[in-house]
Amino acid sequence: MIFSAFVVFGLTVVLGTMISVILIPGRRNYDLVPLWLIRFGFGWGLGCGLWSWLTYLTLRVELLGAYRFVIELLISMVIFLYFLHFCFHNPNLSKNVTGDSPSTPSRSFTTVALVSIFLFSFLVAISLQILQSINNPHGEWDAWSFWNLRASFFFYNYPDWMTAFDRESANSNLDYPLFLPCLVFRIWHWGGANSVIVPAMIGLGFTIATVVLLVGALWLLKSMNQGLVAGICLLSVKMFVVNGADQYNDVPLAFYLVSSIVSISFFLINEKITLKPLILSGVFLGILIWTKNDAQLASASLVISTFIVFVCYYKVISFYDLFVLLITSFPFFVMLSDFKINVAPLKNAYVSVDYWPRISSQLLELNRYWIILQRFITEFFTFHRWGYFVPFLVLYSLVKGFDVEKNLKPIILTSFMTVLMIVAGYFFVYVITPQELVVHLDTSLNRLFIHILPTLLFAFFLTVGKIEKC
Amino acid sequence: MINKSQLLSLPWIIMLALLNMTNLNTILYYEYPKINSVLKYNRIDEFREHLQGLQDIVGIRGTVGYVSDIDPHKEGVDFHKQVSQLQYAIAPIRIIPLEKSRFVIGIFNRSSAPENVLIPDSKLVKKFNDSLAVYVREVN
Repeated sequence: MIFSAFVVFGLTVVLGTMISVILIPGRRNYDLVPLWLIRFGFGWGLGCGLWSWLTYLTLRVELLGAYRFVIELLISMVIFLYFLHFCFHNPNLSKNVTGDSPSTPSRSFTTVALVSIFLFSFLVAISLQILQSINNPHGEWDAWSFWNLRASFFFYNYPDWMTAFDRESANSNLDYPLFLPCLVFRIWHWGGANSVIVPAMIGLGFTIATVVLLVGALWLLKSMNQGLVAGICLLSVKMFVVNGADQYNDVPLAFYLVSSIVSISFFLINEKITLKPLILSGVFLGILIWTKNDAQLASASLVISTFIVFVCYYKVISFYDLFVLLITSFPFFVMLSDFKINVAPLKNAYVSVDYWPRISSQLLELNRYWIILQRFITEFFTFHRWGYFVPFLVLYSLVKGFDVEKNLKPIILTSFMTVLMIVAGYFFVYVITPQELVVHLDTSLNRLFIHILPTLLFAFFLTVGKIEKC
Repeated sequence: MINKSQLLSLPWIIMLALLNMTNLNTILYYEYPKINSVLKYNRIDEFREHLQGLQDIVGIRGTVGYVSDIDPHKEGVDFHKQVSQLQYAIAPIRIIPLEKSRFVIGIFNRSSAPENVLIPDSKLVKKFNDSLAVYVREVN
């Protein structure tokens, strides 16, 4: 099983990386290291996301084992052949066509020290996650309550997988999107056993991919040191590291959100010569809404921010470009709609007409706003008592000041606006929640902050001065 | 040779190194020296191990009810946690409401042994251990 899992994950990353190479042009004077860090990060997310999507599709059309294998093999071959065609017909792939040479990373004391701390932090974080997985092999509550439980039903009851949505059973939260269950099921099905290693490896993979992507993107857009500092900050948040081992879906959500923004950045810094990064951004946006119900708020926030900042204010993205981005995410939206309408149609406890009297009374309770605000501020500065990087960031911005490059302004503004809209949305959800407020805050707020963490760090380190600045 | 700007970045580097002390502290001193003692969520494996014969009784796609000596009204979190862990352990057998199920799984950690527990209109089918048993009952 372990061997099968490694083969499947390896294949997933390779295919995803091939797609990201095709869609991320290497034409400018990019450093190859960050470019490939980004491609590998994207590759992991693309591979996992597209496999999950394809698995749901094959479940829905009831394509049995052998046929599905043939289809997956065919798709893999097409990607591989197109990748070869792309490489042979793009001699400038990963080369500089402008004549400028990529900047070589300096070997200053600061850089060497930051690389050492980053590698140490990475090692500590990965060790922590592996130990947590050994200590807690089935993950935490959400993992065995629905994510892996759903995958178990698919695995044991395939092709009669719809029994996982029996409303009379103890299966709860049936309308949660199936990104993780489909992915876990596919690999279990491939390996022929429901090993606890698979969800643990998915968690570990997304943790690493998020860190790698953040470091690579900031390295490419700002500087190597800036990327390393952001990476160290992200790795220092125990809540973020442990969440992967808990086999939750929050880190994948955070990953797809930041991936979508980084892809748009590629479109802008490439002087809009190709729409491919926007296509990639649309794919990430689509996978994002397939991860969790919370992700629908995140994706709506990103689309609205993109429209306001890129299209209306800076006018760096046309309506047609935005249309391309949205149309690429459309297949995932169709899949989610099919799931919500045909597979798990449930009444929404937040907006149903029966609930309006309760919601209206809660909206008028000022005390609720005060409790939520206090908890948001506390959580933001402590990250569930497990991360203290926010005071560090405040101090850092006060001392180093701000250093915003003109072409990065729309990206920074969009990122911050998206984060603010998500936070405002969560705040509102807590105001109208049908659950007991304190219990709801206790059990979910820490994870909601994980959703915005990589995007926040990405935007912050694009905004502030470099560490070596006096 | 370290210049002025590099020297000024030193406090930041030290702070960044200290940021990761939470994780390091967790590994070295907090939880993991106990790794070989009682595992946090070994109940799932325990259920799987003890309920191996359940499929022979209720069928692979069967359904079961659930009773426990945990009061769902007073200890709601513990009750739901136990149901969820049991459901994950016995999947694809489904846990359904007690009144609709012919077979019932009983988990009694605090009270009497399973053979002494009285579930209306039911009789003990199999006792897996001192706290875990399956009953069968008449359903209309």
